[in-house]
Amino acid sequence: MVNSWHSKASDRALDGQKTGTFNTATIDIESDYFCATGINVEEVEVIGKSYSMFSLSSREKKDANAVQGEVQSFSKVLIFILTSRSNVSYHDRKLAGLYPLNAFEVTRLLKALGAPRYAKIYWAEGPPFGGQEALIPLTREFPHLYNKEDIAFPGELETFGNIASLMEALDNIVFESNDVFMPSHGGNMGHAIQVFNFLCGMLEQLLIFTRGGLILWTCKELGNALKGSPIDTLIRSCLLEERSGDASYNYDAPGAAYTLKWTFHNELGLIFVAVYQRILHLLYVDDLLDMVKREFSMVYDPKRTIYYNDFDDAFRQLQKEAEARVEDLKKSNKQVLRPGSNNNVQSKKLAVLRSDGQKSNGSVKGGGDKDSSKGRKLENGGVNYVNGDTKKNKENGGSDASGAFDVNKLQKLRTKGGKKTDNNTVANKAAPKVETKKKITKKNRVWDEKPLDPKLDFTDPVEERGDEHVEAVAVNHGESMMDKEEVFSSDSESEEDEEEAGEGNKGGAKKKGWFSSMFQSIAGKTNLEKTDLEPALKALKDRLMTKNVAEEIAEKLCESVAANLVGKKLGSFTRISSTVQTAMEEALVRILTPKRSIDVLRDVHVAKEQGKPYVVVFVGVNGVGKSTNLAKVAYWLRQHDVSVMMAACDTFRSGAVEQLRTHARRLQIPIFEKGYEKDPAVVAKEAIQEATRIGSDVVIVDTAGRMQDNEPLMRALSKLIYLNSPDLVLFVGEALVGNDAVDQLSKFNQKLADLATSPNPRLIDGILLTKFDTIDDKVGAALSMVYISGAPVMFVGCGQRYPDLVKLNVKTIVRTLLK
Amino acid sequence: MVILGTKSLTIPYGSEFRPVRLFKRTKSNTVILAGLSGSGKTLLFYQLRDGSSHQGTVTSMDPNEGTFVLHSESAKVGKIKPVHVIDVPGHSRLRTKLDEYLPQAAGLVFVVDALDFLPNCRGAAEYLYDILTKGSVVKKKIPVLILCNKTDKVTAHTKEFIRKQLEKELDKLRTSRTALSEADITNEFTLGVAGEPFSFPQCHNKVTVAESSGLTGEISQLEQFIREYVRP
Repeated sequence: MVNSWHSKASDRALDGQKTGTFNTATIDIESDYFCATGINVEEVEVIGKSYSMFSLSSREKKDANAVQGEVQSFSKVLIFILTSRSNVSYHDRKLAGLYPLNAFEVTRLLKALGAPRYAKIYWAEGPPFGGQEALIPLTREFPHLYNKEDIAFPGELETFGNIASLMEALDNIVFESNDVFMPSHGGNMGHAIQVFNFLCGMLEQLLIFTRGGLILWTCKELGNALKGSPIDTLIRSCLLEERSGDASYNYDAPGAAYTLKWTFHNELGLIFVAVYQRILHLLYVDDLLDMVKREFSMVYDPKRTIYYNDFDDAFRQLQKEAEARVEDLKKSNKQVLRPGSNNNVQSKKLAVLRSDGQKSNGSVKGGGDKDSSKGRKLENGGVNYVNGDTKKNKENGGSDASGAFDVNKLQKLRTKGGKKTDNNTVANKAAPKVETKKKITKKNRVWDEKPLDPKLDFTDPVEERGDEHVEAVAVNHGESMMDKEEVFSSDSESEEDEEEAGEGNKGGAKKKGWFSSMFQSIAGKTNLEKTDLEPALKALKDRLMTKNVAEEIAEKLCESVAANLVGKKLGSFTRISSTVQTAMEEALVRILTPKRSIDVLRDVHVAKEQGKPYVVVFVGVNGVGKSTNLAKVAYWLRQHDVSVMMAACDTFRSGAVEQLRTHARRLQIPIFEKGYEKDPAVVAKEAIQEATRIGSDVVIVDTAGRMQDNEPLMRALSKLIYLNSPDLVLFVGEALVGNDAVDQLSKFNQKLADLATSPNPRLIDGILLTKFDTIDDKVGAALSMVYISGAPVMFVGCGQRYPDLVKLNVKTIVRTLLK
Repeated sequence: MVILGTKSLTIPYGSEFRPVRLFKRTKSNTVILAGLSGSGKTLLFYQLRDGSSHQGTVTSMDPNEGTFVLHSESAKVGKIKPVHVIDVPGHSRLRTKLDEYLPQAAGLVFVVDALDFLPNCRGAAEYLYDILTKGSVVKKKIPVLILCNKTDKVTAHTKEFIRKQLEKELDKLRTSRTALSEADITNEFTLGVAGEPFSFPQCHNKVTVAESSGLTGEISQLEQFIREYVRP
């Protein structure tokens, strides 16, 4: 039951993220979102704590941040809700901060925060699992523990009946206006926080560093310690793999799921990276990064690698701007997307509460610096601090509602304990509805049906601009063909000139004569722009494709090269085409240089020392030459005094075993065979056992060829690999393939990952490229395969005889590709 | 040697280009920092230059280069010859850059992560093997310093341990590396004396081992090495 609720809840959350229809209204107390989750309060014990009577020093705040704010739960049921990753052990979950704190730990946390004994603690849920005794460690230290029933007038809560979401809504009021709030990871309050973060979430971190790797600036205010090393991972597995053209990168580590976005400043060699929780889908990050880039490049001085404290203020300003822009965007979206739903009884009942929450929220947001700090704190793992001055708003609404939950009481309890910060408690209690309404309009938060802000109304200018643009392009269309021909016929001119000729037609704004372009090529162009690069990149892409590189990959590579060049200065006496060519050459060398050791013999020796055979599995589609090249590898291994054994696990194709037997006889290598119609996984297992027995160093396993879409056969392969955990999974691919190379490899990898039963599936470790002697200069398959899988080319088959096996020569390949 | 003069044009930080050098220079003043990614090269680079670890570093994508008087010597009076230090990224895809710089090197520092040594031992040994068998290193007898970094941590391995492990690994590599024909990374020279277990004194060039801590700025042994081969 609980599981299904949970999934419903997360489905909802996903829906919201996908469509982007979530808006601030959802964090309002009752919101459709919470209504629909329908998690029964009685089964999930959550303690929300609130106390407002003490102020925290910054160090204490830090401590609190360090402890992921989690909630107390005694319910076993809750564990299911806490995480859908059921294969995570109790201990791991706790380490990851997903498991709630128990009463003892909560007490300790509160003490660490410096909570006084008289701190009021509000407990958001029903009776605890295990009865009141379970709370003793907490109540012993903090006796003022209240829940809804304690502070409500008799009969007051009955209005809300047993509707869980309404009860939830009440807790939400408390959550929004208190200093510390500890939600469970997966409970309703946890979801509330998630939605809150989703809407007003903040960055985890923003870094500025040089290409050399020195961090120039980080946002100290965000100051979150990132879990794992997302930045290094981003650089290693994305930026250095020529994937800089991608929009974002997802990083996973225990207890962390970040999304990273980046932008380059190529002229200065700077990289800007923003990190945020994946669940947040922050809309303003791209804008913010661009703004930060613009601002920072103005203050940046290469000589000054030291602190950029003065950038802090600028950043704060930029962040506000970016956020405001998105808020506005949301507002306008909201107007369109908001369904006219508030018709049912339920939401009517809540109408008052809604206005209440709205107000308190409005004041929280509207208040400037303090509030933005709240948002930030909120994000920091669910422990948040709200300044006490939001209380009064809440009270207005509470008193309006006849029979509604009286928050004043809670308020009073609080004021009793400590400083009397606000004096309008009584006055507000009697406040007329009119005043409330006035307040609403004043604040006008997101869920107000408010007409578009005039300055937001970009429609007209945009259209105008668009028209203009179209016209310009049309003119351009008419003449540029001719120009192009001209340029092509006089092949001495560079692409740069071509581009300028095109622009010149448009209106002469950037018209440059022969002399100036000549001058430019001598003095070096100021900054490269994307449009400058395009012709050269296009030519390069075409050249790559004629060399049999898959189109998709040629495209991606060009994008990545462009991303690395835009903004750079063009050197003297260089043409764009040659600059692009050099950049591409570097990129290709980088891709083809293996990132893992391809020294098979070394690995064999290691395995030998450990007293077990080194197992190599050959996989691939039909007819690419698996058996032939397996024999070549066996031959090569034998030449280096390694004892080899073959395992005939192609129990599918007629004659496969006999073929292998022939090879084995010619090479005088033992072969392990069990005939046909046997499970190849089992045959391989027995072969390895046999090899261990007779002391063979290497077992090479031949498998049946299979098309990447053949599910049953791929499943069998996955089983074989899982069961025998080979040391090397070698994908055998033809050098002849073009676009299909991508499909083959990615599907093989995908299927191996999907069909694997273990959490860490084995993927393809290396590539054996066959029929390399037949392709002349069309060597693109090597690049396609390496790029798509990240696995290195370990062997190249280049002939019909046993010795025809070589290593890939990266330099030759790159030279051939760019010839 | 003439190359150096033009090279200094592209040095991004703190270099003064003095054309006089073109004629004066007889001996290179270039020291290269190499080693696996994450061993702390960039931090050492900035410790040498600025005496500060700044705000930390991330994986390098491009080399760091600079010609400067070592930070620890900046207080000294008199004319001190500046050092040209290059920090070559350790990521395996960027290692090819090393070949560009080796011809001008007066010394090479191979940085090893002493804290996380064992998991990276093989990778480090392979990289070191490639360096020690490179023609440019062997022919010019470029001195190599194996610098065990991060020794401020309690669990860091000792330099003796690291030296022994590396020797062992290099010994194994000798047998396996000569295998594949038309090898991509051409190891023009073989390592050590055939038939004997490998040890660093067998190298043609001088190989020494030292310790440092980039984080705390304890880099005196590194500076000593640099000053041994680039006289002030």
